[in-house]
Amino acid sequence: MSAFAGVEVAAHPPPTHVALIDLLDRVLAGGVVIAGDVTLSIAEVELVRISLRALVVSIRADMAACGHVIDEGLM
Amino acid sequence: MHDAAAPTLAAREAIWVYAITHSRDQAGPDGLRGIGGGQVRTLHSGPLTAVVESLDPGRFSAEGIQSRLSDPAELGEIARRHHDVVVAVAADGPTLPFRLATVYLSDDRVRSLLSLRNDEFRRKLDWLAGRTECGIKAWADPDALFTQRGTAEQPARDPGSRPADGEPPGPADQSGAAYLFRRREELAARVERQRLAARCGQEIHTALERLAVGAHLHPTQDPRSDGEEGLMVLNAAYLVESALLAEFADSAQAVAAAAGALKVDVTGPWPAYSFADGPDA
Repeated sequence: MSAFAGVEVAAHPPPTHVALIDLLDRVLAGGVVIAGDVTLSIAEVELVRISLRALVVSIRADMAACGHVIDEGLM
Repeated sequence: MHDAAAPTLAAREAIWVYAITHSRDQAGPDGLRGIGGGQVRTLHSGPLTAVVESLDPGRFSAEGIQSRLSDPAELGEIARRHHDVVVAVAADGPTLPFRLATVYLSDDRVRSLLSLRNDEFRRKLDWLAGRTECGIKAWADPDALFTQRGTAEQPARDPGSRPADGEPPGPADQSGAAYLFRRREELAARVERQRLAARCGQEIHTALERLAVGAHLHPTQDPRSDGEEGLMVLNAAYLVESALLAEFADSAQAVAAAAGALKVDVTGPWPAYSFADGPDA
């Protein structure tokens, strides 16, 4: 972390440890769009985020019940 | 309903496409594995190469892939694996990433795609050469912006629209008029805070856009439940010369500070996911 005139700046994360939320912005809404031979449907990024958050919350609750601490890396 | 034009994957190989590059022999490092655990390989046509993986038809029927993509946890895992491959490919040269879940039924179909859209893909790859995507997210505290700038920048009210009872009632006035006046002022302040937050994001974007080869706005992400980070005012991607990435990140900090942002997040370098539309977008 470094500070510039009161602005907090996060260090660059290594490429393989990117936040899933930033990755979903890109792999679900970016990239070359071509129909391909097989039509596969994926929920909108926003819906996926909501589902993932619900999932993370429930996993966290389960883990907490077992006395574990997890780093979700979602947000 | 199945017909000849839409064969099922049940008994056929599915080819998952990761990215397109200029002609090359190797997809990436030896032993690079894809979303299905298979070897990532290359397909060639003229000056272009597609990086693909054959998915095991037993484990990845059309229904199977669809159900995996519909499960949030599996989708997250597939997204990460897809990304890991694209990152490995992009380390060796300009790379045009494909959107998640582009699937063909044969190698030949992928080759004919390369051949059909050869000019377009080459033009995009040339444009991406030596450049990288940088993610910038910024947050602001609307209350702080309002305190800093709101009073100095009160938008001039149109005298014609001012209601007859627009003057604040006297301090002793506990009437309904006083209540309505207060409510209206609160509402105006809230609208003004939102306007200032949006403008903060816009200022940062406008300044960074000038320093970048390309710019793409992503929708802002939900605020964290703890609300400590303020409001996200910018979620954007910029295409910059790879050699100037660090400089660009420094500029983002400076610009965000000048715009009154609370926090800036710089991510990347990313493969150029947000710039797959090429220079004409």
